[in-house]
Amino acid sequence: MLIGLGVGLLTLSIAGRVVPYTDWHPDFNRFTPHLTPETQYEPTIGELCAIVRANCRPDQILVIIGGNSILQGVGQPGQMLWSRRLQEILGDRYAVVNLAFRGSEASDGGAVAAEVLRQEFPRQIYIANVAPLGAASPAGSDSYRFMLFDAYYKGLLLDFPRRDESIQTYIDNPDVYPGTALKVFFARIDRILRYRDFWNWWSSNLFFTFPTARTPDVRTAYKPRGSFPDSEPNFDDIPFQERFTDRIAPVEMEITRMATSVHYEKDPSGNWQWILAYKEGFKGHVRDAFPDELKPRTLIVLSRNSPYYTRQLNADESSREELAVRDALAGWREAGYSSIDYGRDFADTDYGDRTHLTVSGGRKLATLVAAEVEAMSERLGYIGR
Amino acid sequence: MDSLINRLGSRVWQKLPPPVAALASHALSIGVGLLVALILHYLLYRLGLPSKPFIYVVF
Repeated sequence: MLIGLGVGLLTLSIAGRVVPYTDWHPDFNRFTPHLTPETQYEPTIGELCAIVRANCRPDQILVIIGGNSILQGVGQPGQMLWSRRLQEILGDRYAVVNLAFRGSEASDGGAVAAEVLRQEFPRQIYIANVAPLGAASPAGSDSYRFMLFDAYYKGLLLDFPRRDESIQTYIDNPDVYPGTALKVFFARIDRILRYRDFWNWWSSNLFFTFPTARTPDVRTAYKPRGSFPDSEPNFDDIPFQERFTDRIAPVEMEITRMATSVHYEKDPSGNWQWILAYKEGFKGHVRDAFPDELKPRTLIVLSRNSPYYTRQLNADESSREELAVRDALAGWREAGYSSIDYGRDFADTDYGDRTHLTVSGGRKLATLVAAEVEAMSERLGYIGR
Repeated sequence: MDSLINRLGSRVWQKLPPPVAALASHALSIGVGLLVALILHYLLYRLGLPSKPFIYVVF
């Protein structure tokens, strides 16, 4: 029996190593909820890299999109996704792959895949978004850290002491970060047995193995995850007045104000100034978010709130908001990244809610990002001047 | 494994020529091992997943 056990585990671990050589997400557009932790499906780093390899030729400049639901394209149907428009504008010289996840940080999945592929695709640009004074942890967010651990414990990432320290902090503080040690344990075993790649392949292609809160009934619970269509609704199908209601306006306005109000105070002459502790904190987070050698090819996009809400700020609050965007842009650029913002000149109809973009907003974002990607490609020597 | 063979039907087993019985015994043993490997591999995958799905909330 031990021989059978050994042979079986060896065979399955080999299978787990082999399956990511082929992309099992044909016609990949973006990660839909049935391929994410929202339905207890955790994509592996091998899976992400296979998607990239299937969508980018060696002669193309790789553009990986990470970040959160805004760049993932919530409220934009698959065929009208902003990243498809970005691909159209950039043309065949570039290959755009959208690896953003809903609720993820700039340093989560897409960033990890880009880092793993840094030598295989040396001409690459990584794009992620943050709120104007937001940053990112070198170890990503709790919900998506499994992808970082996947690559980290397989030895696929750069040496980055700040990330090592951050991971150790999570491990050393189980009361604050419960379950981290267990995740590390499973990541270490998976390095040998490769069960995640194998069973993800199985779940995508053959059948999923258990019901989840989002797929509770038998008809959907066991369906192969790869068979679910991208059924993202279109913001434009919902009347504007139903998306921007008086009922939610006070809360949305409070969130809009809070984004900058806690970070700034008035100096004696009545001008806004960045509170030193917050400024230093921001700069530290920006410095530590990515390894130094990856910063020049990283484009941080600052996501402004909908003008429907920012227009309701008074003049004093508006000047604070503008200063915050300028300070954040300067902070990212001084640390070695490229950075742009969007939304200031957008119309109310370019937003589906306070943060997410409609199809028209996505098209405007694609135009802004394309111009910066081309400028970065020149600066980085990917294309001739 | 003997107890497993006994449960499966020792009489049938005893009727087999010794070399065939030995071979069948090994094959059955390896088969059970393969099955245990498959279950263990799956359990590692399943236990490694969070018990509750990530709930996406817009801020």
